[in-house]
Amino acid sequence: MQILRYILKRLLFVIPQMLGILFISFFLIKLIPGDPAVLMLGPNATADAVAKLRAEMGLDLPVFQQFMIYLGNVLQGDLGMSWQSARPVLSDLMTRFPATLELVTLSLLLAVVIGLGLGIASAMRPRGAVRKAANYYGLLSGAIPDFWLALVFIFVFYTLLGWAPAPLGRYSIMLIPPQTITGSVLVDSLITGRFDVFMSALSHLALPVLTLGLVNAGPILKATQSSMDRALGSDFIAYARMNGLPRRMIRRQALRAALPNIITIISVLYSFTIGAAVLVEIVFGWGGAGQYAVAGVLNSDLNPVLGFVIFSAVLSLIVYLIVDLLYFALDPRTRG
Amino acid sequence: MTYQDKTDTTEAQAVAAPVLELEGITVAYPRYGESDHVALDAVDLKIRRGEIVGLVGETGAGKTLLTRTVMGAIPGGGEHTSGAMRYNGTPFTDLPDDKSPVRPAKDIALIVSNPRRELNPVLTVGQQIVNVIRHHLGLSEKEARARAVDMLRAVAIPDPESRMDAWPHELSGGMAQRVVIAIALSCDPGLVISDDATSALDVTVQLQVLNLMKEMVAGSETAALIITRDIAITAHYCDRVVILYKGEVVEEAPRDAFFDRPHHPYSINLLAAFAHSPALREAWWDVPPLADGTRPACRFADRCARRQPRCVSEAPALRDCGAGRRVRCHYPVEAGT
Amino acid sequence: MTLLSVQDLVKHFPVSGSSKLVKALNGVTFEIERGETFSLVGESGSGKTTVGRAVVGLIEATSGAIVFDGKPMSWKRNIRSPELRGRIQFVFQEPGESFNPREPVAAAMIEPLKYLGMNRSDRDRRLAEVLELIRMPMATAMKLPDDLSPGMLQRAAVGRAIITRPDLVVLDEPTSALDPTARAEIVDLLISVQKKMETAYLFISHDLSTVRFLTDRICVMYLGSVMETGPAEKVFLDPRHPYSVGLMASVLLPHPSLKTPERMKLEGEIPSPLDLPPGCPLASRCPLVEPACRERMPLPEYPQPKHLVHCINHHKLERADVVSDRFETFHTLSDRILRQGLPERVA
Repeated sequence: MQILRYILKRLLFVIPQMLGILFISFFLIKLIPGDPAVLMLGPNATADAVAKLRAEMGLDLPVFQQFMIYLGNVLQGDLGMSWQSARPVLSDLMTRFPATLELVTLSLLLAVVIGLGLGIASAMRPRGAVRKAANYYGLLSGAIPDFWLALVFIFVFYTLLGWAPAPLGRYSIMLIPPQTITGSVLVDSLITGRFDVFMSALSHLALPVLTLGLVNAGPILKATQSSMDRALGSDFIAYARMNGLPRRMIRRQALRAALPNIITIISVLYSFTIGAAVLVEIVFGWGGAGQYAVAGVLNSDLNPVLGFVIFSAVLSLIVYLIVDLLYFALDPRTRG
Repeated sequence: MTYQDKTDTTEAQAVAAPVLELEGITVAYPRYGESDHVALDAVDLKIRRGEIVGLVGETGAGKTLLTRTVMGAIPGGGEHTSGAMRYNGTPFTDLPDDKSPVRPAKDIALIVSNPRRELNPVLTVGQQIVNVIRHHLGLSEKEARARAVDMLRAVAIPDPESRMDAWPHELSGGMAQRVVIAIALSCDPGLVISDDATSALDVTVQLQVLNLMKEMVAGSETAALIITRDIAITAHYCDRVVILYKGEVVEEAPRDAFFDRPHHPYSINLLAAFAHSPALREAWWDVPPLADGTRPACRFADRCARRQPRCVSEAPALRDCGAGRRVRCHYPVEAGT
Repeated sequence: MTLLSVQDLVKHFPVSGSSKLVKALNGVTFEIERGETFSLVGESGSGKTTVGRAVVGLIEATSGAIVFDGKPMSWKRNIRSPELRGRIQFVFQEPGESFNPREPVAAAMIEPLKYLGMNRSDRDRRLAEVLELIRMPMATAMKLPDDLSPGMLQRAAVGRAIITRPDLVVLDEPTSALDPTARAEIVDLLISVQKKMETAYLFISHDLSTVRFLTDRICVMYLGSVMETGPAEKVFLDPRHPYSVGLMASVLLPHPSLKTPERMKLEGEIPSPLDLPPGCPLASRCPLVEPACRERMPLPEYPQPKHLVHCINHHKLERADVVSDRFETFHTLSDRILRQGLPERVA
């Protein structure tokens, strides 16, 4: 009951938070020089034509008024048109956002497996070989740019070895796309029984997931290692040891104590990678949401950018709510 | 004197084999570019069945280090360089090691000083006791739970069934201390070590906890080592007193004999802290400093009111003076001196 | 002459995320005379520290008044007013935490003088005086806090407190973090400083055997209320409040013959200061409890002149037989032990 009330309260807060996020991003984007009317009509357009289009698009109105109009539309579920794709932003994002989500979710799952595993193993044996390897790995993953790693992987596994498919999208272009249900190609192809698409999607996912997974495992590894170290050095773990509890129980208790920190890092990485995966998306021709937003910024196409901001803000708010609920579940002291 | 009621039993027990025997325990901390810092120097200690021994020392005496050495958890890079530890005659080295013949909590249990920090904050009181009982006694979840409730009842926790589901942060300091005592005694250990277990408690609660500890130990024939910086506790709860100074045992004696006539000047200094006459205290405490750079052979020489030239040049040995007393001093204060 | 008068002090702390109040102080009244040592004793949750903090102006009380040297202090402001500045000083429990680890303790000790606008040569002279008083060589005072033992640091903290020649020093558990020998050294120091400077002390402690050494008058607090106030020897020898009796009985003295008395053992735990029931706060633990105790706080009564008790049953505690004071017995015992074996030069 108490939890439900808490969730409701949190959801109520989402409204002012979203307003604030929209407001700030709207004005920041307006600060970027560049006139969409000029770009849409091309370099040979007359001044009159430009002015006419500006008036049609409402660009001649004061900025605050433009914001109010935009806000009104958003509340009715209309995120505007993208002039580049000439399609509603909402439908563009409905296909592109799941692509990014699928990539990022799988990558982070891989990152969690690597980071958590190495982190725990290296914390349990502070003088072991795993610790040394993990330390080098943490250093490397922080220093190597993800797009570079992606290019190396493509060179090795596609160009040299030919194990991976061409880095052109989410599945082979030779296949007929499956019916869109959830937006995730893996899930949709399984539901509709399209195993050819499923296998193709899997092989296309391998390299980008490996890239993002390896890079993001670094921070998770570091966070796991340091919070496990702290937990293992804590008084209550020393006490558990001196009560003769077996090693696996010690490990479990320490992990339990370290978990809130690790979850925080994972949630931050998740929200961050939605946008930060853009370079990897470009390298693999992924057609994800990040790519879409960046194209929007470069071409003064305002609506896709704002649409992306709204989508990722909602996602972040959901992620943070889940994290708070996990804290609730993990630590009795927060249940007051 | 009315307080000698325990003497007979102590003599009878002297024949039995010691529950814990420490022989020449030395722990050193390596220092960069210098000789090692010897934090515990050849500490001998014997605790017999049913006996309560008080180990008194101030900050830096090494009393917590001694506990940690016995429990196999030496902190901060220290090394157990020599000495033997035996539990009921069985030698052991690393207690928490799964292969150790002597097991912590089952054979030697520890009562810690800061229970609210030492209990796991994310496990209920019941889970923590049950974990220990199940692991050491191999009971089923249900049996372990029943035993845990019995233990909580035994340490006078009101409404033990519902307290099983309490979280550590919901307990007062006194309650948490009782839970730790319940854990320590839950597997019928042969020896209980209390490491400054009551110093953080309020005086009225401290007395309750100490009395409880004494009853529990007496009722189960367990031996106990009470480690404290408060010499007053040992006067009322221990059979024997051992004084530790800078990592060395400086005096050991049966309780009544010790409090009637402490032999070592440091023991007298400890008592003086409670005395009422500042003049006498000052006489014992105000010692002219040693010449700069002097490193006296006797570790206590720089604070000793009875210092002689010999104390600076020759380290005193721990001497047996009969009647179960030992003292590390060239010039001890003995009756009639 | 009254130096400090605390009148009906009340302090309630709000609890975050709840409408409950922590009732830390529920009407505390006492007076401190010039040059005397007044001790506040009690266990955790008694509110003794809160009183100390209100007196030095670190917290604002909910209601009540504090009058210092005839002038009412309106909480935070007046404590810093020029005529009060430097006249009340404070010593905290943890010696290490009140010193900047990066400057020598001597620098910290003269800090209060800077705010009094004293020039450099006067400051140095005052520092030399104080160092002599606390018997600390200048070389020691020039060390960093990390290089000093806790006992030495607390010595320096006392020095810093008295350097402004205050009328009142509030000592909040100044000895609890120290080993017994260091503890006794600080107590001896406080006594000798008081002899020379005629400073009044408000000594806050839970440690009755330390309080016994140096106090003139004692005030026993429990859960934010005063239980008993009186001259030290009266309260120690003939306590009239069940809580004081229980508290005195809980003190362990270092001799096997000085057993803790069986009378008035306080069972149970100290209740939480959240939502205290009306009436005497000890009602839940008191062996003499009556229905009237639970209705309202007993009014002050005076079994002897200057000896105040908040208990309707205080006459039941009057001792028919004068039991010898355990503290006095220990005094004799310990003196006998200490006299023997002293080297010739002092004996």
